[in-house]
Formats: sequence, C-alpha cells, structure tokens
Amino acid sequence: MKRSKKLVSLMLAAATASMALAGCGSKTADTTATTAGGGAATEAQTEAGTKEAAAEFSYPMASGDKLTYWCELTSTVAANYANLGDTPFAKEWAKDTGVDVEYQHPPVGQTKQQFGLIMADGNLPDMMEYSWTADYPGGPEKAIKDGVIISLNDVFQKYCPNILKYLEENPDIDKMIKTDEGHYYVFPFIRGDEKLCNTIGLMLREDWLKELNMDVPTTIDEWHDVLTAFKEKKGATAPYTFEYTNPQYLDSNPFLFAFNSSRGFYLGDDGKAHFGAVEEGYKQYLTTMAQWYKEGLIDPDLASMGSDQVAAKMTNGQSGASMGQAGSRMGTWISAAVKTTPEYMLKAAPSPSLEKGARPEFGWIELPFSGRASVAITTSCKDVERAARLLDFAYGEAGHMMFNFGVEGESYTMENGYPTYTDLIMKNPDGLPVSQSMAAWFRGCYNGPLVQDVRYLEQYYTMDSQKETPEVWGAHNGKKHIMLPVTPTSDESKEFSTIMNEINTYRDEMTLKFIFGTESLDNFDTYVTNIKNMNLEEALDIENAALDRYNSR
Amino acid sequence: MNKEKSSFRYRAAKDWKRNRSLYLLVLPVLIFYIMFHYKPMYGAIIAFKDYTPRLGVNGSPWVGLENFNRFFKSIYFVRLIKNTILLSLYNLIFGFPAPIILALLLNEVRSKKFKSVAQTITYLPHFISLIVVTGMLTNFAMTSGLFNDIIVMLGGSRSALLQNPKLYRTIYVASSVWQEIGWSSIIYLSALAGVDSQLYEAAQIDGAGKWKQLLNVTMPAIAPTIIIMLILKIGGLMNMGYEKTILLYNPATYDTADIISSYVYRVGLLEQDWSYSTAIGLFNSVINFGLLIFANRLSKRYSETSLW
Amino acid sequence: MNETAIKRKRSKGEKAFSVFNYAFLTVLMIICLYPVWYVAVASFSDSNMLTVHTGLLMKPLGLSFDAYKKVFKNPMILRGYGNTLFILVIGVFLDLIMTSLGAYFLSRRGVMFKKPILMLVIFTMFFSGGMIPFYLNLKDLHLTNSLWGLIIPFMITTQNLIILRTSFESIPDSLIEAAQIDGASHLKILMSIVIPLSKAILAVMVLYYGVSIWNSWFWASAIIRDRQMYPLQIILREILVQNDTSSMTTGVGAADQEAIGMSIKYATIMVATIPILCVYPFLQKHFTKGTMVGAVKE
Repeated sequence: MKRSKKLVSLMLAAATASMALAGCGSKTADTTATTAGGGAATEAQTEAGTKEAAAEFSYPMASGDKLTYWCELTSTVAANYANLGDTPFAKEWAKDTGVDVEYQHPPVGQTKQQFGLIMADGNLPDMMEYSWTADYPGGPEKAIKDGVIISLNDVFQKYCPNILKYLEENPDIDKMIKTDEGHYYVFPFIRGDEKLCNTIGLMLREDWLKELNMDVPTTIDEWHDVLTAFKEKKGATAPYTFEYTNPQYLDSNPFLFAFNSSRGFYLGDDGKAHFGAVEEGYKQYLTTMAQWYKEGLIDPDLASMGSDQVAAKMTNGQSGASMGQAGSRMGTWISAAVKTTPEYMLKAAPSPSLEKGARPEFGWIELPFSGRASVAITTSCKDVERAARLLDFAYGEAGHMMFNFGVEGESYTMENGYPTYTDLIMKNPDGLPVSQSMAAWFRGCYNGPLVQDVRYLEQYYTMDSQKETPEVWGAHNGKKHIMLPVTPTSDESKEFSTIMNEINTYRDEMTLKFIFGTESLDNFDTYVTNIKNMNLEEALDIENAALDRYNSR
Repeated sequence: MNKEKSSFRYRAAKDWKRNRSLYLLVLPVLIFYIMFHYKPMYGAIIAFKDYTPRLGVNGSPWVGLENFNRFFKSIYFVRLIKNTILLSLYNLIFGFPAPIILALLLNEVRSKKFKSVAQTITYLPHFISLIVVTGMLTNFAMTSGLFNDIIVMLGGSRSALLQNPKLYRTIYVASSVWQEIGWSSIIYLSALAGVDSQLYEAAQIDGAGKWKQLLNVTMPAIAPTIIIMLILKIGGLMNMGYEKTILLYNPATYDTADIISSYVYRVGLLEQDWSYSTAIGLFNSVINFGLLIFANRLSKRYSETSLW
Repeated sequence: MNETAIKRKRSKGEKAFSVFNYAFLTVLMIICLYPVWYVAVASFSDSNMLTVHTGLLMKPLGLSFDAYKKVFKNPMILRGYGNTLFILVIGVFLDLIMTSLGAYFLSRRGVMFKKPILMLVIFTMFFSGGMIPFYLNLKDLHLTNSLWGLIIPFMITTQNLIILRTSFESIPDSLIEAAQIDGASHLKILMSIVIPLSKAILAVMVLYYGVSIWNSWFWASAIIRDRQMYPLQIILREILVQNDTSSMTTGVGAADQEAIGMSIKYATIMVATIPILCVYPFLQKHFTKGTMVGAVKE
C-alpha cells in the first residue's frame, strides 16, 4: 500500500518537474510553472518521508526580510558586475525562491583576510560562502563550538528535502560533508561527475612532437627524451615550465606522482596516512628533477613562475610543455598563440609512469567535495528557514538546472533532452568571453552551493585537445591514494597546524635547494631527520586518528 | 614631598593660565592619539591570551608567555632575527645617504629647467605600486630578462637572479633605493631651499670653494633634518614591511629573504593566529623602542639635535 | 640662490664636477623613467603581441587603444575615482589642520606639558596595538563601512608631525613673541604667521599625505564591505591580481579563450597613476619659494 503510494507520487513528481522545465521557456507561463515546480518539490518531500508540515511548502516563499550573503565575487563576474545581486543569475534565484538577498563581497584576492576580520568583529552576515572545512582555524566543528555557524542537522530535516534526498542517494558524499561528531555544517559545493575532478594535467606542443616525429610521452624516460629534443632541436630555453608559485599545481604535480609519492599526506595501501615528502619516492623524484634542471630541461626560473610568465613562455616558444587546467591554461594559451603561430597546438599527456605501459598508481584527482565555496548559516541569521529554503533550492531538480544552465529559453534550450547553451552564452552578442557570459547566468561554471553538472564542462571545452583531457588525465589509480577530508579535533588542531606549518616551510625550501643543486642529495637523510625532529610522528598520529574517526562516521 | 607637590601644582596652574589657548589647540590632536593609538594598544594584551573573537579581548583566557615562547623556540627564530636586522641595516646604509646625495647634487645644478625635470623624473618610481614594481623586478631578473641581458653584455653568464639567496638582499635594497631616492630627497631639497643665500655669498667672499661651502654652510644647515630623519629610521629598523618581501621571495631564497614580518604574515595572519602574530609584533616593538632610545641618546651626546 | 651669486671663476675641478653631475643625473633619470615608460608603452600595445614579447620594450607593439576602452567601460573605475577624490580632498585638508595644530604646539617653548605630550606622540611610532585591536576599535566607533573610516583614523602621521614641528621650530621666536605682545591668540599666530611662512613645507606635507592616501588600499579592503564605496586602488588591485586568483578560486578554469589581458593591467596602472603624477609639478614650484623662509629668518 505504502509502496504504491510512493511510486505514484514519484511519477507525479517527475511529470510536474518536466512540465516545469518545459514551461519555463515562455515568460507568461513562468509563475504557474514555478508553482508547479514547487509542487514537485513538495511531492518529493513526502516521498523522502519528511515531516508533514514541510509538505505544505512550495516555492516561491512569501516575502520577508532581506538576507545577507557573503561570498567571493569570482573574477569572471567581477569583470561585468559590481555585485552578484546584479547578475541575471541572482535575479532568477530570488524570483524562483521568493527570497531577497543582499550580497557582500570581499575584494578579489582578499577573501581570507576579510573573513578573518568578520570573524573578529562578530558582525556576521546570515550566510557565508567559504572553505569552512580547510580554512576555518580549528575546522568546522570548532566553528560550531565557537558559536560562529549553526549545526544544520535539524535544519536539513525540517526545511531541506532536496539536499536530504541527494545525500541519501550519495552516501559517500554524505560522509564527506559531516564532521566527526556527525554535524552537517554547510550546503556543499559538489562536483557531480568524475570528469569535473580531473581538470589539471600535463600538456605539450603537439605541432613540435609531429615535427620531431615523436609520440606523446608516457614515462619519465620518454619525457626526458622529448624535453631534450625540445631543447636541442626547437631551441626551447625552458622546455618544461609551470606555475611553481601556485600551491594548487604543486599538489597536483604529475612528475612527483610518477614516483608513487606526494608532497603532503596521502593514503597508503595499508589504509593509513603517510607523509610523502620524507619517503624514498620523493628522493628519487628530487634526483630526477635535479638532473633535468642541470641539463636545462626545466625552467631555470622555476621558483618565481607566476601565471603571466608561464603564459608568456608557453606562447612564445621558450617552453614546450607545462601543466594546468584545460580551460584557463590550455585553452587560453592555444587561442593566444595561434594568432602569431598558426600551427600551434597543445596536447594533453597522461600522468607519467616509470615503466612503459604500466598504469600509474598515483595521479591527480580532486574529491567531489573539496570543501571550497560551501555555504554555512551563521548564528546571526534570524530567519533560518528562509536561508535554508533558499540554499536547498539548488539541490532540487529545477534549482539544479538553473544553477548549471541558467534560464531555459534564454541561456539554454533543451535539445533531445540535452540542455544546450544558446548563442547568448557561446557567442555573446556583446562580445563577452564564454566564461564571463556563463558566470552571469549561472554558478555551475565556477563554484557555489550546488551540484556541478558535467554537461556544462562538455560544452565549455570547445577544442578537441581540451575534450580529451578528462580521459587522458584520469588514466591512473590516484583515487585510491587521495587523502580524505579529515578534520583534527578542535583540541589537536592548533598543535597540528603549528607542526605542519613548520614542516611545510622547511620542505618547500629544501625541495628547491635539492632541485637547483645548491644542496646535495647526499643530505637527504639529514633533511628527513630534521623533519622528524619537527614532530612529524605526532602530526601523523593526529592525522591517522582523524582518519579512523572519518572511516567510522 | 608635600612642598614639591604644591610647587608642581603651582607651576601647572601658572602654565595653564599662560598657555590655556595653546592646550586647547592641541586638544583635538590629543584626542586623536588616545582614540586611534592608545585605545587599540590596550588590545595588544591578546599577545598574552589565547584570543577567540567570540569571547572578546577581555573574555579570552590568559596564556602568559606561551605565544612568545613559541616564537623563541621556533627553529627559524635566529634566522628571522638575523635576516630582519641585516636587510634593514643594508637598507639604512644604502638607502639613507642616497637621497641626501641626490639632493646635494640637484642643488648644484645651475639650469633651473634641468633641475626641475630631474626632480620630477626621479620621484616617479615612488608612485608605482609595489605589486607592479615587484612584478617588473621578477621579469627583469629572469634568465631571459633585462638584468641578465646587461650581465651578459658585461661578460657574465645568465642565471635566475631571484633564485639566488646571495643576491636577494642586493636586489631588495637596490630596488628600494631606486623607488624612494627621489621622493625621500624632497625633504632635504626643501631644507636646502631654506638655506640663506647670503651665507654662501659670505663664504665665497672668504674664498671658500664648493667643497668648503658644502662642509661649512650646507651641511650644518641641513644637519638637523638629517639627524632627525636618521633617528626615525633607526627606530624603525625592525619595521620591515611584509608586502615587498612576500611579493619578491620564494622558498629558494628564504635563507636570506624571510624576515619577521613575512613570517608573521605567513604563519600568523594567513592562519588567523591573532595572538601569536600580536606577540611577535609586540616583541618587534620592544626592540624598535630600544633602538630608538639608543639612537636618540647617541644623537644627544654628539650633536645638539634630538627627538626629545 | 646660487645662480644669483656673484660671478666668479670656476675652477677645473668644478667644471669636471659639473659634467659628472649632469651625466650622473641623466643616467639616474633614465633608470627612473624606463619602467614608467615600459608601463605606458605596454598599455598601448596589442595584448597578444605583448604576451609573446621578451626583452626591452621601446615602443608600443601594434598601437592599440583597446585596453583603455575596456578600462573606461568598467563602471567601477569612475566610481573609484569619485571615492578616492572624496577621501583625498577632505583627508588632506583635515590632515593638514590636525598636523599643523600638533606641530605648532610641539614647537612652542616654555610649555610645561610639551615633553610628556611629545613622548606620547613619539611612542606611537614604535608601539602599536596591531591590526585586530585597531580594527575592533574602528568598529566600536562606527567607522567601518564608511569613507570617514578611511579619513579620521589616519589624520596624523607621526613622522609628518615631527617633520612639520622641526620646520615650525625654525621660525624665529621674536616674530611670535611680537605678535603675542600685540595680543594675537595662538590660533591667529598659527594662521597668519606660522602657516604663511611654512608654505614650502606644507606643500611637501600635501604631497606626503596626498600620495599616501592615493596609494593606500589595505584599510579600505579591510573595512569597506560595500563595493560602491571602493577607492580606486582596490579596483586597481583587483584587476592586477585577477589573472592569478582565477585559477585558485574557481574549480574548473574560469578564464578561458579570452586573450590574456596584460595590456589591460598596464592601462589600469596608468589610469590610476597619472592623476597623482599631475599634482606634483604644481606643488613643486613651492619648493623654490621655500627660500623666502630663509630670507625672513634674519
């Protein structure tokens, strides 16, 4: 009896949802359509078995107080809008949910600093989008204990049918977004597909490879040959270069992964946390890099390379290989360089291995939940229900489409069941670059409290060499070794960060010295001893204890 | 005792009567200093606390000298102190006389137009923001950059200059001198403009050459300015800002580049460890103050000029 | 001044020095000018050509005004100009008044509490509460998220106060005492004797305060939450760091097939720097007038 009732309501939900999607196209049908969409959500709630009171709810909400929402204004939005609230995206969100929002933004690049000051003065906005998992000192549990943000367990139960449904269907993610004590604390940013986690990798000049009659290198030895050829035959003064000053790229360094190591913590085969930078693999990596550096295969200016300099070298032929994202790096460089070098083309190279044909054990992949750009409700929020309903919207059917594709009929149309971006996005009449027109209409193209849709990426990558990147860069078993988003307890967190700050500074410094040859690799053992003297064992114990707690969540 | 007190009271009353309007004039200034300097100074007690914003300055628990101990015990303590002192010392040795020399040279220029153009152009770098200056330095210091072009021209070989710890201080100090030489010379030029031309005429009549004039007329006239500026500079020795450092250094040059303020920025501010960073700041302040008193005492002993 | 001095024979040594002096200053000028020239030239260059260019840049690569068009299309720039101008005009005015008051007091002789007050002032140069206490104080005084919060707490820079005080001290006491005997109040003496005699140093003060206000950004970035109130420097900073931050703050690369906007950065630097550069020549002439002070000194 109960089962069949469920089934009926499910079908009803699906039908109304599709109606809602179809209806969104024409402006006149808008109001009815959104109400219908709300009806769908209601039905879904009953289906998920939430409280009876929630069943009466439907979007848009009755008007009420304006809520404040603090978040970073991403550069692609900032290029055209002074405030997120001015974008078509925010207007649509307010219209669909009936919740008016006042957005507050830190200056670009000053996020961490302004966050600290807001914490210091206690004058909190209602909602704050931040990387609470990693960047709140002491971790999310401490943020709750400090009285900064509220635990969301009750809130989810009462007001958030959409996210509850999503978490029920994705227990892995459910585990990631909780604290050890079992508290939900954010409306998370989730990458909805593995392809979206594989956006950084190696790339090199395809036109040079063809000219030299060489294949895309897959092993360290082959890379050595290719880079040597780039140097000797193509006159590259810095055959391999990358943005060394950007920590993101140090964490995702494929050449280090080739030696089954990592610069920080990784998950060993024994299921325990290990610190890569003191192990044999790290030494081998350093030996190889020092050799390459000596032979002039690595950018001699490596340590000071920022994005501008790498872009310059990659486009003017000083360098032939690099690493980075398929969008903001590969795509940008190709389109900048073809204007002066028409045959210029980059190709993605897989994470290298030591032996030919072996599938690399390590490699770069991001977790679906990285902790970034996730929204917490603060203790200052007076109308928690309004905030919760506003945020929960994005995890429902209609909200998902709106957050990833914008408004049907304007920013996308459904073609054979596939949401296809219109020319407003892809060939903007005002001449906006795709990234900017996308960012005006939806948030799925960067981040935010939503589940990112892979169909966005499929359309964002326009060049062939970009399109093949997820597959090429994903060819490894790195997923097994990526460290899970564990959090030390609030008691341990200070000790842990003190130890690790010291170790990391020392490691970064010595790594460069080893590579540049100013420090002989014979001293690697001394380096390891020094790190151990900085209480590495203690940090490892804390990390492993946190890992145990994570596993038993 | 009582007598002295009453005499103090008497003197104060007399002083008030005589200078009342003067004290009224300075009142806004006093209020300013109390509101925006002394009131926040009270907040520095968080250096001795484990400051949690929610508990407030007064509500946070005391931890005594823990934050200081943590700094003293840090393996970087010695290196940080050494780097800070050396860098600011070099900055003082090269950065302090440069604008004085420039001002004196400019003062000797006969062509008014040339002088005015030279002044205008040498102060230009001051207006370029630090981000741009360091960005250009990084570019020029690269193996393919302008500096290396010049080194090769002089018979040297190319290298990544900003990755060499031995060159870091040279680059840092030279660029600071470059950026501030013209701007800092303004104060001396202004002082030079105030020198009575009759003094020069008198010296010339006495048959004094340029060099003599410099020693006997110019230098004594601008000496007070120079000494005051020097005392201020010495008192600020430990106040090396972090901005330029964090824009210019990289792990390869930490050996010579990492200074107290950049360490505070990295470990303290970026990690929101407010108490720790306030403690290091306080430590810095104490050293600064000691240096200031030392410099002022020296100046008092060997010249008439002093800050107080 | 020297030029008006009695003509006399110049020795060989003096001639050699003169040649050296001109040569040295010319080289210094080139060194100081080139980077500015570089920025100017780069701002008129084609972005793509600029990206692939290495080495010295003497003239624009493919003259283009696109960068400037883009910069002025940005509505925030004008807004920023307005805000900065407001802070600059009001700020410099208040700064001068407050600094003069303080300097005048500290330059008077025979004032009983002068020394303790001077100590109080100097102490602040070497001791400060630090960033967080300062910020919390601003919040207590309701100066956050307001342009006044960028003016009032920064009215006096102690170093400038000391410089001005030293200069005021060199004004002969006889002048002031004479005015006092005539029954002039201290305010009147300050306004009608001290300030007119200190035009040169006050011009320097205008420059010092003006430039530091124009270039300051840190506290604006800390206390201003409303983007409509951003001063120009914050907007400049945002544009300068944009390329670097995009890859870190966003998941999948957000900047994309757009040409790398290097020339835009340079154009923004120009737009944010030129106005303050233009002020200097107007104030510069006051330096030569500074000689007047010396003449009155007798």
